[in-house]
Formats: sequence, structure tokens, C-alpha cells
Amino acid sequence: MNTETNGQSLIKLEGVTKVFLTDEVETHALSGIHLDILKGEYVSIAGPSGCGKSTLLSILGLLDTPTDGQYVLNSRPVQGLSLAERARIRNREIGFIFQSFNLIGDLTVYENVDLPLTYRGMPAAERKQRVNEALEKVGMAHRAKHLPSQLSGGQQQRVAVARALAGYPSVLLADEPTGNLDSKNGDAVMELLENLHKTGSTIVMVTHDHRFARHAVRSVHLFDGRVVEESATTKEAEMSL
Amino acid sequence: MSNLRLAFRTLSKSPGFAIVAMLTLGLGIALSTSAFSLANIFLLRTVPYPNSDRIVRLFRTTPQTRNAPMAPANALDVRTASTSYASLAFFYQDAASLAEPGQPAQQVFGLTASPAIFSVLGVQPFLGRSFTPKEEQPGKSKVIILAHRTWMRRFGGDPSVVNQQLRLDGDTYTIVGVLPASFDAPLVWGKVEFVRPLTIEKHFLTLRNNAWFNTVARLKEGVGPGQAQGELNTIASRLAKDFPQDIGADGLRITDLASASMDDTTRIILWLMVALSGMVLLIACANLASLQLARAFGRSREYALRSALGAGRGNLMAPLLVESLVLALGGGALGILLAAWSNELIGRNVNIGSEPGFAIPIDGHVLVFALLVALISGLAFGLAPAWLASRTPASESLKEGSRGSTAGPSSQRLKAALIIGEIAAALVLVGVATSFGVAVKKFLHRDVGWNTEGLFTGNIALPWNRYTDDARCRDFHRTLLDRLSALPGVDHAALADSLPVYAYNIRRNLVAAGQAPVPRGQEPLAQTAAVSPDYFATLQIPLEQGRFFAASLKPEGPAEVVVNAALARRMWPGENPIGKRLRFVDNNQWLEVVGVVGEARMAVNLSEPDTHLQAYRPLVQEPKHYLAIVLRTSLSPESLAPAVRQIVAALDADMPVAQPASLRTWIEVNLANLNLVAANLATFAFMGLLISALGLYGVISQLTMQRTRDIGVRMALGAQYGDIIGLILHEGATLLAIGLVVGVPAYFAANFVLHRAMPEMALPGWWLLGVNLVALSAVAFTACWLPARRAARTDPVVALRAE
Ligand SMILES: Nc1ncnc2c1ncn2[C@@H]1O[C@H](COP(=O)(O)OP(=O)(O)OP(=O)(O)O)[C@@H](O)[C@H]1O
Ligand SMILES: [Mg+2]
Repeated sequence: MNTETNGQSLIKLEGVTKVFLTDEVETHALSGIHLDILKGEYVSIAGPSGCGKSTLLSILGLLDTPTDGQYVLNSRPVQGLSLAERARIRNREIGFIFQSFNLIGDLTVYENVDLPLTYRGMPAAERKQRVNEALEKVGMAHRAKHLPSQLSGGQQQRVAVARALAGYPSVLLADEPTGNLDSKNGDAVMELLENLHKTGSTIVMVTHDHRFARHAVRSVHLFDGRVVEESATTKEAEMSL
Repeated sequence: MSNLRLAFRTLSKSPGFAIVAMLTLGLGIALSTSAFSLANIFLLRTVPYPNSDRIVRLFRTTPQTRNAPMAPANALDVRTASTSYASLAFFYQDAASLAEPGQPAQQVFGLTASPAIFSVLGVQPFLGRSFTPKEEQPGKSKVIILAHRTWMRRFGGDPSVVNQQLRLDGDTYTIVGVLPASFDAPLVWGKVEFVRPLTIEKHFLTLRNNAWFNTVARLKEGVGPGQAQGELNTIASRLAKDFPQDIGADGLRITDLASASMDDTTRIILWLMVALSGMVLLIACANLASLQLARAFGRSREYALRSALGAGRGNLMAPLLVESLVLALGGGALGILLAAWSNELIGRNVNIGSEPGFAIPIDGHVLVFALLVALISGLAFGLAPAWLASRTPASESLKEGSRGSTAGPSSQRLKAALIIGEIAAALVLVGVATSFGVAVKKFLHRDVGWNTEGLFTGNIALPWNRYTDDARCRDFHRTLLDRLSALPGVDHAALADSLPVYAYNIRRNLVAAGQAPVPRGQEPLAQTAAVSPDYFATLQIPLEQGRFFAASLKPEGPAEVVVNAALARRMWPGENPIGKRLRFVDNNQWLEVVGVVGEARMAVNLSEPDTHLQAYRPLVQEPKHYLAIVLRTSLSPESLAPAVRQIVAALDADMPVAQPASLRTWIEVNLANLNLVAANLATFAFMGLLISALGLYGVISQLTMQRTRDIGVRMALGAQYGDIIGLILHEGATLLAIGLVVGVPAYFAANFVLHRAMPEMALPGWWLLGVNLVALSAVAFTACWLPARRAARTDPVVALRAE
């Protein structure tokens, strides 16, 4: 199934470090991360609490900048870009899925999915088509007019996935997407991600849960801000057979 | 009590909030209290006499006016025929020259009144005695009672003044009493320095066509104004039947002394000020309600816990309410201090009877008002937040990390409604202040039809006892005019019985020769003045047709009149008025129109005159005792004062020149109150605008703070700086737009009231609304811009953070 993983590098981190300075205390959240992610890969990032998973993800998602090191996204170095340019890249290249769904409470399901597309200045007709397509994909088209508060957690997360998908991003970044869900809903979301992976999406997912980590093709283990282990998961092994 | 302790403890934990709240409230309460103390002194406590609600004025009404004095014989008939009054007195305000040995003559202002005046008012002299009824008879009335301040100022408060003599208008009067300070009521009488008896001369008993008797009376116990009015109607119709020629369509009317003593313009403006200052306070309250709401919801978990522990709604609301009341009372105390200070400031600049300075006390009424206002504001801004906070369901707030519990939709709606109200109120405040300001400016510089610059004026009074006949008056006028004209630097000199500053004092009905008769009383009304020949040239009232009065005009020569264009058009439309004849209904003599002049508009009167028709009679043919001197000069007008004084003193050593000044100064003194009102309104507008801008800022800040996460998410999804700014500004703009839509009708309503109050003032039109809307929007946008900018700088990483 690795046809999509055509060996083309999508994300390349070289010696990325992140140091937080609070009240004279330096926290080394990341220390010299090297990471290559190819197009079409499904990577899980695991590790104990506080090891720097979210920090890594926020750097990958251009929500934050590394203190040091190189980040090349789609063969383009992204440090030193203006805030506006970073926002533009987030909008086009990256889809976010958050642990706490982060749907905007005042907007309907439809409007939530539509939101990143409006920032892109996409014509209304095309937006409509994309939103509907994304909602179909996650099986939430019938709830398009609902407000997030009227949905269950699992449904909210599916909408969040739709929102991440609608813009055809180069990579989906998910930070503990099942963290706020019970196991049944969690499974459903994981299945959804897996299906997306099968249709060619690149996914980087942070998770504690070994059960879910197994869904991914490749697993990166962090400890204290460093990559301590990289492995192909059993599943990956199974699949590549 | 424990709630009170709790309130102090909570407030001391957020001193910033407590200080801001008390300052805002204090300012709001100060403005309201100060405005109310003006209304209190000018409208509610105008009449400082015992049982003042029983003191009434009786007026003659005509088709054109409702406040005319009565002719002596009619007034005396009313006194005899009526049974509704415990006592009834006639009076007129009067100037006299007071000359004391070794001192220059000085014009003093007093009251000439029936002896009954003191029982009408319920004030008796505290030294000496009051007048006896006998002293109303001719030859018995050379007695005088001093006002308290005259006694203090001129006689050093010496109790032995009673029975001393005093020279007034060159006559010797005996001081029979001294009035207590409680007699003073400058808003009713002006600043009175003495009272002397009004003599009922023999010929008064039949004098029905010349009206100058003002009437004041005290209603009998148990008689209401309605009953008294009924009796007056009967008397009026009997008079009309008995003397149809003199009475015509005139009626009689009763009104309380307080409302008779205040003109509508002042009344409306004062209440408008109270209302507008109240609006500032409302804006302040709305802001505090918003702040309290935020604080209440910040503590919603505490509330849920209390309610889980069994607290009832009352128990939940009490602490917040007590806290609000504590703030309100603190604000109230501050407000009273500020109001006392601002009253002092206003009092120093206010003009009563053209004299600056008037005490505006903070009395019991005002204190009660301030206290009530403080309590009501406390409830106003405390109740709704407490209610909403107490509604948070226990289960809801105990949920760990449940989002949205910090800002329920009802509190969100309430905040939006509050800010919309604030914006609407701010528009009204700014609208009234700017309309008023622009109108005052225009009014000050409007074309009055004559030239108010470069004029000297002063007033003289020829005492009746020495200028007993017309010939003496004429001689005095002629000599005086000759000498004044000869003064170096004087281009024109004139005398007139009144000037077009506030009003031409005498209004008379007139008929034209050869026209169909008009029912008595319905004849056109004209403002009239008796003037010397050079009057028009002096004031630069333009001649439109014919000629002015000739200097050579003889008293017994052809009776002439100069009319204004409005009168000519009204009486002889489309015809040449020159040579036409008219007659005042109170006089049988026909007058020939020799000239037509432009209208002289009243320089300081904000009210629409009851007639625009004006007629001038030559002073030689209608000699007067009270006169204004007017000089047109190329010099500084004030500099003429000593020379004028000398000329008058040389003619009559006992005759002072009162209020010698440049006419322009005189006008400005009279308009000072207008500027004071303008300054007050501007303060209201500024405060209102500032407080509501702060409110808008607060609400938008809170809104963005509550949404930091949403904003972070939007940024993670690729929202640009401008998208976020736009989002927040859009919220602000929506509130602003609704606020303005609500405010515009109120703006027009307020402008309508202003126009009603001051018809002579031209209110600016649509352009000012446009300017106000733009200015208000600019302020509102600035208030939203700051939180918007902060929001747009949100770190998108917050989106990743779990709660
Ligand atoms: N804004 C910040 N300021 C200071 N320190 C930070 C900041 N964000 C993260 N850190 C620190 O960086 C380290 C890594 O944090 P990170 O959130 O990436 O951990 P994590 O692996 O995502 O943990 P978890 O599994 O609990 O979500 C932690 O020690 C954290 O305290
Ligand atoms: Mg994390």
C-alpha cells in the first residue's frame, strides 16, 4: 500500500530545539530533533507526558517557531517567514485536529468546515462543494446545520476532521484526537484517519495510547525532548507484507 | 451584616475595580446631583416663603399673551370682588435713585407694593413694623422698608435705623422696618433693596386702559386654584360686560408664583440638563453592570457550590447586591463632594438679574436626591448581574472544564443590550451638546437687524415726584441729548424707553384707520418703544421707506409713528404704508406712519416674541421717566461712562446712571448663562462619550478574552491578522450600528425639545448628525481597535492546549 509514500520528503526537521523561558527557568521542550516525514506517511508520535509531543506538533504546524534548527516543509525552509506567510501556509498545507475538537461554538457545523476555506478567499461555489465532500467523508453531512453544542464528542471530532480535510492539506496534524473520547468513539475516529491515510493523506498524530499508535505506519518515540526510538509498527509490518 | 463584611472583603481584594466603579459612579452622581441642585433652586424652591404653594399670581390674558398686568381700576375691582384670597397685593418692580449726604447718587432696585404684600408672602419685618393699610393712600406713603442686604451693606446692620430718614428720588422717606434675609427671592423679584408702598391715586379708581399692576395673592385655607380661577372667570366676564371698550377679549388667569417666576426656556433647559445628566449616570451604571456581570460569572463556580450547599436565590443574590450598594453609596458620597464643588463653580458664573453670582446650595432635597440616585444606581447595576449569576445551575458550573459556563447567552445578551443603550445615550448627549453649542455660536453672531457693536448704554430714572409733568421730562430729555451728542467721540446719541436686548417692554394692540373693525382684544399686537429722533441711526436700524422722526418734531405737532416692515405688511399688504394712519387701542389719537424700518430682533431673548410687529413713537410726544441712554461711538464704549455720569449729574445731582456699560458686554453678560449651559452640556457629552467608550472597550475586551481559544483556532486554521481584526471590529461595529439606529430617534427627540425651548436659536441640521455619527463611530472604533489588536496577536499555540 505504500504506493503513495513515493519517497518524496514532505517534512524535514534538522536539529530542531525548542527552549521555553519562564521566570528565568529554561525548559528544554525539544533538544535536537531530526525527523523526516515522507508524503503519504502515517506517523504516530508517542512518549510520556511532558516529553515535548505537543511542542513538536506545534512546530510542525507552524503554530510556533523552533529556537534553533531547520524546518523544511514541501522542500521550502519555513523559518524566517512572515506571520502572514505562515498563516497562509497553515491554511493551505496543514490540517489540524485537536484533542478538544476546538469547533467554534457560534458557528454551525457547515460554517466550521467552511471557515478555513473562507480565509483562502475561495469562491463560494467551490467552497460549498468542498465542505459537502468533507462532511460526506466523515459521515456528518446530515448535521450540517447543527451547532457544535448539539453534537456528541465523537461527532464533534468527526466535524473537526472534516474541517482539517476540506482544504486538501499536505499534512494532517492531530494532537491526541481521541483524548476526549470514549473508546468506541475513539475507535471510530481512528478508523476515519486510517481510511484517510489509505486514500493518500499524510498524517502525523500524537497519542499516548499504544492501541491507537498501532494504527500508524511508523512510530516515533520521544523522551525528554529527544527522539529515542523510531519503529515501524506491527501493523505497518503486517501491511507491507 | 455578614454580607456587608463579605462585600468589603471582596471589594478590598479587587481594589482596582472598586476604585473605577466608585469614580465612574461618583462622576455620574455628581453631574446628576449638580443638575438637580440647579433645578431645585431654580424650579422647585424658587419661592422660599411659608406654604408657598398657596401663593399665586393673577394675570390678565389677551389673545396674544397670557401674562399681562392689569389696569389699576380692574385690579382694584378684582381685589374687592374676590373672596378666594386670604390677602392680595399689587406690586411693580421699580428703580429709584438713592442719594445720601456726601455720597454720589446710586440707582437701587426695589419693589413698590401694596401693604398686604407681607401677609401674602408670609414674611414680616424683623425690625420695626410692616406697612399699614393707610399707607396705600396718597400722601401717606413716604415710608420704606429695607431689605436685609441693604440694611447690612449701607447701615452696617445698625438696629437704630428704624425711624431714620432716607432720600429716595430726592424725596425724604422714613425707614419703618427691616426685612429678614428670608424675604430675598431673586428669582421672583430680582435683587430687591427696598420695599415702598404702592399708592392708590384717585384717578387709578377709573383707570382701565393702561395696565401695569402686577398681582400676587395668598389663597385662603381650603380654597383650591380651580375654585379661585372659577371666581376670576366670573369677575372677568362681569368686567367685560361693564367695560366692553376697555376689557374686550381680555380674561384673567391664576397660576402659582413659582411657575410664573420662571420662563419656559429656562424650565425646559434645566429639566433637559437633569435628564441628560441622568443619562450620563445611566451609562455609568450600564458599565458597572457589565463589570459586575463579568465578576459574577468569574465566580460562577463559587455560586454553584453555594447553591449545591443549599443556598436559596436570595442568599445567592444578596452578597453581590450588597457589594453593589456599598459601591453605590461610596460613589454617592464622592458624587456629593464633586457636586458641591461644581455647584460652587457654576454658582460663581451664573447670572441672575444680570448680576453674576448665586448660591446653589446642597440642601436636604438635594442630599435626599443624591442618596436616592445612588441607591437606585446600585440596584440598577447590581440587580441584573446578581439575578443572572444566581441562576447558574449547580450542576453546570461544577462540571470540570465545561466551557461556556463563564458566559451564558443571557449575560451576553444583557451586555450587548447595555452597550447598545450606552451608545444610543452617548449619541443623544453628544447631539444635544453639539447642537446647543453650535446654536449658541450662531445665536451670538446672528444678524439681529441692528448693530450691537460700538454702543454705550446706561439707564436713568426720572423721579416722578420731581418730573411731575411731560414738559419737565421733555426739557430734561432735550438738554441731556444735546450734551451727550456734543461728547467727543460720540457719533449719535439717543434715548429710548427700552432697547431690543431682551424685549421692547410695552406691547400694545393697534387698529388701522379705514379698516373693518376687529373685535376688541383681537387687534394685532405690536411691540412699542418711545425713542428720540436719532435712535435708528444710533442702533443702525435700516430705513426702508419714508423718514425717521425729525429733530424739530413738536409735542403738539402731527402725531407720528415709525413702523417696521412686518407691521406695514400686516396692516397694509401690497400698499404704500407711508401716510397711512393707525391708533393704539388704549389711546384715541390717530398716528401717521412716516417711516418704515427693518425689524430689530431681541439680542439675548431665546424665546419667540409673541409678535414681530414693531411700532416706534417719538419720545417728545410720549415722554417717559425710565430711559436707556444709547450712544454710538468710535471709542471704546466703556470709556464714555464717566463723561455720561458727569453730564447727568450736572443736570440732576440726585440722578444716577445705572449699569453703564458697552452694550456688547451687557449682551454677553446676559448670554453668560447660555455659555454656562453649553459648558455643562459639553461636560455631560464628554463624560458620556468617555464612559461609554470605556464600556465598549471593556465589553469587546471581555468578548475577545473569552474567545482567546476560538481565535487561536482560527489562527491555526490560517486566519490572517486582518481576519481577526475584522472579526472583532465587526462585533464592535454591529453593536455600534444598532446603538446608533436606536439613538437617532432619541437624538431627534432631544433636538426637538431644544428647539421648543429656544425657538429663536437656529439648530443645526443633518450635517451635524452626520458629524456626530462619524465622531462617535471613530471613538467606538478606537475602543474596539485595542482589544482587536490584542486578539490578533493571540499565539495560535493556545489552540493546542488542553483545558
Ligand atoms: N509555553 C510554554 N512555556 C513554558 N514551558 C512550556 C510551554 N509549553 C510547553 N512547555 C514545557 O515544555 C515541555 C513539553 O511540553 P509539551 O506540551 O510539548 O508536552 P507533551 O508531550 O505534549 O505532554 P502531554 O502528553 O502532557 O500533552 C513541558 O515540560 C512543558 O512544561
Ligand atoms: Mg500534549
